[in-house]
Amino acid sequence: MADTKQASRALKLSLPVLAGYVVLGIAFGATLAQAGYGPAWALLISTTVYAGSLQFVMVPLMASGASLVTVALTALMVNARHVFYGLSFVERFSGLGRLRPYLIFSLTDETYSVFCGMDEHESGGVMVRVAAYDQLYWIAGSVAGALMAQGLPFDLTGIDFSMTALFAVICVERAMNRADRLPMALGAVISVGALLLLGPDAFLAPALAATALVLTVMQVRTGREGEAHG
Amino acid sequence: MDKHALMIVAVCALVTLLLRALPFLCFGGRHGAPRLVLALGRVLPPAIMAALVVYCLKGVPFGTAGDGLRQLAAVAAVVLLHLRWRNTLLSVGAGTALYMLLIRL
Repeated sequence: MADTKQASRALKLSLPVLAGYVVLGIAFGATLAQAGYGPAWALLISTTVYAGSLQFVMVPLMASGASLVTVALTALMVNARHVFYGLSFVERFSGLGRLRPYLIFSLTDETYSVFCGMDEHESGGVMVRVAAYDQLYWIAGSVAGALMAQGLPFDLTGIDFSMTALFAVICVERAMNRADRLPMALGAVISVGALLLLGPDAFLAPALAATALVLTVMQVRTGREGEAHG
Repeated sequence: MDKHALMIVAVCALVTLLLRALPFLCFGGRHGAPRLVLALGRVLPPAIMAALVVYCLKGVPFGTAGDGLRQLAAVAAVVLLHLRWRNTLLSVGAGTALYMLLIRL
């Protein structure tokens, strides 16, 4: 596929992330600027850390001069879920050579979910462009937010729902595939259970770990049955 | 320049990268991943996507009933729109517009 064709295909695939990333980016940049760190900091953090929720959590840590151990532990807790994203792409990224480091670095919730909704035969060129466009939306939003800092010209409350909507759309897409329905139902039930049990702030990583564990046990079982029958 | 803040940024960048790279460091080598890990990698995405939707709606059981209902109604609209037209931009755009409208009523 020609470069321009890959570029326009990647643009189309990344568009659902645009509104959410720009607006959340603005919110982050404004929060950061209010804590005394200007646009250069927003650019630095969104370029090098590039992790939505952690970046919000970082602001008070920076402002209060938290210890690096506290920072490392917080980052570990907030981003633990990312460990599970790569597991799905070990195979696909391994053939992508030079593109692989950036694809790994930029595997955020949103980029991961766009990849999950994509055709399995989509080229590395399209994938890396989707990843890069997503990060550009995020950087642009956060720098703009730091520049504006005080209040927005219009009220965009609620536009961050576009992330929820995007994730729901990808669930619908995946649910068209019969084999995906059981793991999806399992993920939903375990997450809701964990949410009710552990509360909204610390449920996701344990829920993902429990889901991965149950799915592993199921895989081992079906594998054994396959051997017994084969 | 605030040196300690710079260090904080560096630590956050490193920890995040490490977490994202961990599966590739463990299984990305020449021998490839064990079959079990590959199989897990295939069934995890739908489970993770469901978990992310729950994560986005995590406030529902703990907030006011009205706020939770608005979120659930908008998610239902997104699902129905997508089942009908299967157009991602339409589903996301219209669902978000509906949510923004609902919270202003």
